[in-house]
Amino acid sequence: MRPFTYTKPATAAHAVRAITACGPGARFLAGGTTLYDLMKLNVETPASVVDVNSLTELSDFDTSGSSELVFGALARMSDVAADPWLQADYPALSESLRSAASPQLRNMASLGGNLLQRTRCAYFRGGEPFACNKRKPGSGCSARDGLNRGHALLGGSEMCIAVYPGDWAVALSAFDAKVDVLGPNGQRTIALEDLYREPGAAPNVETTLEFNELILRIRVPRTTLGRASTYHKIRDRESFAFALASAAVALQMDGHTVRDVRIAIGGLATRPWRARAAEQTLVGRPLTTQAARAAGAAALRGAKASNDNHFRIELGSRTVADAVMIAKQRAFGG
Amino acid sequence: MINSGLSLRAAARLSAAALANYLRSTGWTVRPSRVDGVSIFSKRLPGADEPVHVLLPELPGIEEEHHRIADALRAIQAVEARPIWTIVDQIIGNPGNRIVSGHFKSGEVVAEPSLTDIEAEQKFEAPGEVNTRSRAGGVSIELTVNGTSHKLTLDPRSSLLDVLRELLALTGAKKGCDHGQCGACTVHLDGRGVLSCLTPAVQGDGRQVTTIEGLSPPGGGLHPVQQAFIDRDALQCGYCTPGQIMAAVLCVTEGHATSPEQIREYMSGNICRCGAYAGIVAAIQDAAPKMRSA
Repeated sequence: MRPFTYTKPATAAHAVRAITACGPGARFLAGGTTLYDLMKLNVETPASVVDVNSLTELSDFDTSGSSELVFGALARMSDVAADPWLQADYPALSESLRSAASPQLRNMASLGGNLLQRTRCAYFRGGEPFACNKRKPGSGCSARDGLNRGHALLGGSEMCIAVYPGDWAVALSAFDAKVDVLGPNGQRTIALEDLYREPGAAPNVETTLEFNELILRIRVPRTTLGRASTYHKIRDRESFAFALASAAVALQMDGHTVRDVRIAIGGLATRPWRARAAEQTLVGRPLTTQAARAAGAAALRGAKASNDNHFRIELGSRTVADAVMIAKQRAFGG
Repeated sequence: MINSGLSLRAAARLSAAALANYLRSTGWTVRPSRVDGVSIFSKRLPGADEPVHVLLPELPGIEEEHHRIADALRAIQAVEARPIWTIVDQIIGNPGNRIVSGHFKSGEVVAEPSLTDIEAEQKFEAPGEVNTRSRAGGVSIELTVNGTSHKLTLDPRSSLLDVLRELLALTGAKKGCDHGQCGACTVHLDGRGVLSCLTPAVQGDGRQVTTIEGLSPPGGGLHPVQQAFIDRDALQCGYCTPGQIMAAVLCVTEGHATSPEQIREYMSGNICRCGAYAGIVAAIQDAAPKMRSA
């Protein structure tokens, strides 16, 4: 690990000032489960680390508000996953947290940091001699012709097909979440969907945040779609594994007809992926097994497979269909 | 004395002569003991009435044996309560101990490159970076481990796991993957299960750590989960066991030991390559009612 200077400010404003003074080589440190891990691999080599764990102002969350749910960026995944109101009213959000990582990691990882979790692509993490445009811009992509069973089918480019590994952001994108961000020029609010960039020609730039912008909180507008929602995650082992495919679905029925539906998919794309085309196939129609399967197919339309991951087009499609049917069961009180 | 990887790698960077120079310049005295080849290292710490004595193989006078230097480093750091790398930095920072071709020279003695040296070069940084690290200085924290408070000045890079094992000589928590994937380093931080390998030690400032060594009070016998692991043969090689037990205790106290499925889900962050999972689940089922009635 490379040496770095370490500071631990007491307020968000101080943290932003401190990191701005350090310059673009600096990183915020929260739970550390991604950053510190990648620093051990010399993939992340910050010259300065600004530890934000003292910003207790950001560690609360409130799931009881009448207009929105508010999650402080430093709330820990385990605490939020265990919230009984969230489990009852927004099972997709709770399940996305509970099905991620292990209990120990969920105790450590923060909600804001989790949004920025970096890919598990082995060529990105592995370092030299593997080429990786994300780690070292312009060096090439070892995954395109390498072992790419777990890589992205949607949102990739010639430069990068690394998958976005998280679950929480996928579920949040189904609920039109917003993110409050503090920078040197004050606070701004962006849609969660606008936080992420597709790799395109610059896979090393993953988000629309500046290095000195700090995520303060995540806000989710209250919606009647929450109760009939699910986060359905398919993986190589039953627990403590990243998604081969996942789907967040939230549903509102009007009798047997779909009044409104939200679908987002994970483990399949270079960023949290809202599947609006799939939503459109369902709205205003009776919800049958065939309709769910058609929505699944629509969600994966345009998917581009690499050597080892063709099976995940069908897997992803069926994951979405299953999730839709789970949400339907919940809509009818099941 | 057990030499773990870090002290060996640190030792690989030093010559015995450089270490002896360091000892002389930092208030240690060295005198022969009644046993051939063993010296008594002594130092009076600030505020202490009596010096601390440590028995070690003679230095210098032995060949460049890394494991002996590692023994000395571990003894020094235990007495001085500071991380090995700060000692190494100080020795290297002494102009008498200059870097020569990536190795460290003191007087006429140059450590021969060895496998350990090569590993050290890979695991540590290129030689030029060492000064940067020294200049960056340490971070002072107060860390309570198994009820004992420690004031430590740390390189901010050090993991809680390395500090527990290398600095405080609590080797119960194990380094399996060192990347948060195996659970062998599980400890309790303010009562919650965390991976000490992915916890920068400076984040332990003002907080309470419990390791397997502190699970039951001294002289208090085994914790019910420890006894259940023995009774149920819940291990083979035993390397993952301290982490398994620390996670298992929380599995019960947090209310997840209600069914085999719940136990398996809660314990999914602790990998056992011997495959003792069936025994682990049985042990947790055994221990749960005993812990509730205790």
